[in-house]
Amino acid sequence: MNKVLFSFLVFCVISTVASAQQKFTISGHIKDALSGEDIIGASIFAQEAKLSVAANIYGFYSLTLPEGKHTILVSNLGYATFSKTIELNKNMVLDVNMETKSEQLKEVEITSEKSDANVKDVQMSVAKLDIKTIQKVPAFLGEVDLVKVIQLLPGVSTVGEGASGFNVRGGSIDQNLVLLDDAPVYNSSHLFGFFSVFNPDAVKDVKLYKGGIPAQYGGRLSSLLDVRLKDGNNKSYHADGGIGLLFSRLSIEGPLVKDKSSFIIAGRRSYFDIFFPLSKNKDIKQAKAYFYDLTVKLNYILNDKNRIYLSGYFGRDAFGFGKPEFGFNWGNSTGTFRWNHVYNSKLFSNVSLIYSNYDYQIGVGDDYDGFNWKSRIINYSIKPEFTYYLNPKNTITFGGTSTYYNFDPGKLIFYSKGEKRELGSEPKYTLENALYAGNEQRINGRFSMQYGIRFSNFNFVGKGTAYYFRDTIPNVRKDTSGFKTYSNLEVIKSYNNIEPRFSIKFDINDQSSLKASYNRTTQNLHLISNTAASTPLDVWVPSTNNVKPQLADQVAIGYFKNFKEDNMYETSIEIYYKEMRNQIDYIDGANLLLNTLLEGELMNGKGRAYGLELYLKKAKGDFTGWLSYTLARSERKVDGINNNEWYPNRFDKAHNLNLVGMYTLNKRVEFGSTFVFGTGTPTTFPTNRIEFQSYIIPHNVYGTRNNVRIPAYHRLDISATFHLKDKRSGKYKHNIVVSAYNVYARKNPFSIYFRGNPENPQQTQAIQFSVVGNIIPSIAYNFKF
Amino acid sequence: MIMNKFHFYSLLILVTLGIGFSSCEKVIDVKLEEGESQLVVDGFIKFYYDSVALNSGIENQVIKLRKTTPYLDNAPAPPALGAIVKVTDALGRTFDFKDENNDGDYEYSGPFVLSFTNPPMGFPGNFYLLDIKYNGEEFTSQAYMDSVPTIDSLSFALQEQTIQGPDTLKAGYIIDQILTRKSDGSLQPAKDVKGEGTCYWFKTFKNDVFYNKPGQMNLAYDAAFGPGSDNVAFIPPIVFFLSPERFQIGEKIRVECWSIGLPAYYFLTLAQIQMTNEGLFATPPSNVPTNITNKNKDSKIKAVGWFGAASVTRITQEVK
Repeated sequence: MNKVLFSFLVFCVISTVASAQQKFTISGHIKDALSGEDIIGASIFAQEAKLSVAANIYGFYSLTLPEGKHTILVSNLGYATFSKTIELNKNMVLDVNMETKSEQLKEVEITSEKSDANVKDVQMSVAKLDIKTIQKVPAFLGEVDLVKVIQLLPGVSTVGEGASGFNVRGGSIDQNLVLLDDAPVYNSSHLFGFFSVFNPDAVKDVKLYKGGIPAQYGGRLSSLLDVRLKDGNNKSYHADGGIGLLFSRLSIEGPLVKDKSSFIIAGRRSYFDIFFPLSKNKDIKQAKAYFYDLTVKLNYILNDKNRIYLSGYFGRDAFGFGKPEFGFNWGNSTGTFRWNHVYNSKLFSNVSLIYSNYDYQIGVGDDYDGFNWKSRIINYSIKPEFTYYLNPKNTITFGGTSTYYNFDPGKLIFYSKGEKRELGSEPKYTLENALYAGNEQRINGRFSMQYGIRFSNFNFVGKGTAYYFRDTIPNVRKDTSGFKTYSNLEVIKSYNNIEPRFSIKFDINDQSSLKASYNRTTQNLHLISNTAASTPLDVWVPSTNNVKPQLADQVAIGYFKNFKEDNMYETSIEIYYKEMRNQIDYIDGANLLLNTLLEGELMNGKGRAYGLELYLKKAKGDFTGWLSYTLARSERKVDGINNNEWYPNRFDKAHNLNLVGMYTLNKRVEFGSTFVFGTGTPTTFPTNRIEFQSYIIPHNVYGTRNNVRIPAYHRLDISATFHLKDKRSGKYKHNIVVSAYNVYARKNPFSIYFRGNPENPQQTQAIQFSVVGNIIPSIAYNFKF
Repeated sequence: MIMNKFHFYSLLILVTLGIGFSSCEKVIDVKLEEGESQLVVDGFIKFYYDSVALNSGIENQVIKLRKTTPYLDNAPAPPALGAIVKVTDALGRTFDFKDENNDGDYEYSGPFVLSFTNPPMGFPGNFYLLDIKYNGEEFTSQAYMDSVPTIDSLSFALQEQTIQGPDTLKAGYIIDQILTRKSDGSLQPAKDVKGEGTCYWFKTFKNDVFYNKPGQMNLAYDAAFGPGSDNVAFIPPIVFFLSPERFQIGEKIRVECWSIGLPAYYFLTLAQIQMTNEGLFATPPSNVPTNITNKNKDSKIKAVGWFGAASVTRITQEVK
């Protein structure tokens, strides 16, 4: 199957090259005239030749046209269309600075992309959100959160409040590759999943790929969340900020060298701890509790052909209580250095150097009596990427990545009456490489394809120890049969995988299209977590001689149609089917933390997920918003669990409905609201009780898993934004956002569990637990100048 | 244990932030699927190591046989009557356990012999095979008795009144050290017995009432919670959890340290997880394991519960 597909791809590329003719190329960068920010995805259209191309994520475009006179139109939502007539008789550079339309109009538009991209792009199963939209959706405690908005899209769901991350098309949360300016973010939440780490003031663009993932991306099974930071205004200085109930935020951007170089620095910090000293509660008085994040980006345009970017994120949650202090903290830090280089008008490249770190620590006491527990994951990557604009019909991408990982799954050092002991597992090292090539090809006016192949190579290397386990009965802890130690960089186990990617689009007419896609993805990093709400203490482990890479095959088909003039309404229907192999599950009562022999606690199963996604979006006008509905199923089959039958995943929800509405009443007042409905997630109920040593232990005599569902989840949130009058210069803008979360105070169940009555443990009871059981009002003040 | 503390403080943070105030628990009515009743085995062969050495090892041995009942049925578990229960030890002796009171408590009540060649039934290093004939089925199990460190004294420390989360803790005493008397007469912090994987269940009683809540179960693997902590003094969290509340002057506090062996440690850890599997960080419910097997592998009738052996040190001290 793979061979056939590969031959087909080679054929496509060859036929493409053969058809190339001598022409000239126009290329350049598309920027915002006011801020100098690159505009992602603007459409460049050559009117006479009826050829168009989109700018890439760095605002670069390249279009090859026959010699002669051409009218070039550049358009992007929210901007006035740029038009210029050129006489093309040699390769030329045309940089475009686009003027924004009136502020009023820009405010009500929902995406920054060209308005028919959903129908015209080969890409399917993609959702794009710009930060303006994200800011309008009512937010929990008034804190704008892009991950929470992602959860309102079709095919995306969550277990509930307080569950970090999100589930895409029946995949678990570690199957999402979350990239912040190309750097992977290993834990995207603050405060146990209540807030995400992305500072909305610094984010420019968010794109979620649920399927048909291009060959240049890899490493996770289910999705890619690509978060791009702003470059910073290279013409003048600006500040954005706000005071919410939880965070206060400030971002500053401006030129370092006018028109050439700019920076943005954006910070947030929770500030409730300043009230702690006022507390009468001694524990709180002495407590330490805060979280912060700092996002920084610099860029420098060296010349027409070279540009560099440096971006970084540093965030931490830190808490401490009692005496001696019991403290814990966790956080990510990432760094990306990027170099854009234009070799010639057809060949664009970007080389990224990437660093990412996630670590946590828990500790109490000192080196007489105390302990300190640390865990972390670090990666260093280099990622050269090339785009070759062969001709208007073919855009070829190729490149590779190489990543060195250092895993420290957990080490506990403790002191008991001065004696030191260490427990936990030793570090693990891996080297991951990938090569890819892909092409986006227009076959004729109606057919387009995007195809590619990715080769991934993963090596579990020394210095380290490989453990070997005996095969035993499923769902029973495996015994070790031996171990072998390896020296520095000695390969312990390698895995190679070929990942074909393919998408095709057929235009039915100007406003509707049919699309289909297939992709294979592999994953060599696994988040070990046995809780529904992942905790900051979850550990990442690599594929090893015992843990095999996860593999997924996904097919999807979709119908896309826009209605009314100017694509006022966008609709889509997509159906997907996904099969996953080597899914990790855990033996009953697995010991996942600080365990050298962790791999003996893991089981290997398969997964399958399928569903139907409906989407209706109104992108323009005073009233905007969307409706998404997903009918889905996500299941798993593991030997030793549920009598070896398929069972639903913890995050399986049959129905998921989201309604998002935003209404601009006038220049001063805007409203927003969301309504969500989801089928209750599955759980396991006991049948019997075992009385043992006077304890009551729950027991399910049939050994079934996830045999019942908790009641459905639904919630309404509303918000109102009041733009205040400018007292100062016209540049100063400020507003007040009042919002209410869970308006009708539904006690949405997060879980149902069973326990003994706290007063009398012999009396058992069923408890429904709601994370948010009340209406949560909030108010925030935002400013901008 | 670390996890418990982590979860406790995590919730405290959420409460402090107001988010936790909004979370709520409510007792609900649910209808559970009915499951067939199974035999429950509940017994540890014990050896009590008292400071008064003469009494060591001569208490009755009890194995309780009960039946499982519907989970939300709050009546005491019905006894499994009419079983034949025998335990054979490493010295080849067989002990008959009898249900004299017809209450499902099968007891061995002597004779207790105290000679070097024919010691009492329970002593560290002994090994036990259990055989139960019940309702036409035959169940077996086995257990090994590990050693236990001696605990000769408790030391108490006064704590001021504090507020922890939403609760006010009144001033009182907690156990801040458990001590062993050395041959030179000095008192030293009690240490885990040498050898990887010795596991303990610490039990605290106040005025002879056992702190019986699942969350108060205090389990240790060596001196801590896992490999790598062999033969040091029990670490502070374990000592800290010996005091489920602050004690007052005059109260009689008893601490028992049961050396239960690694398999029982895993069993009890899982049982504790399943009984306290609440809130945001709950794990998927699963059945606890059992070491009771049906001799007839093809039989569909299974038993649950645990048969173990434990050497126990106990110390009772009044708070002064």
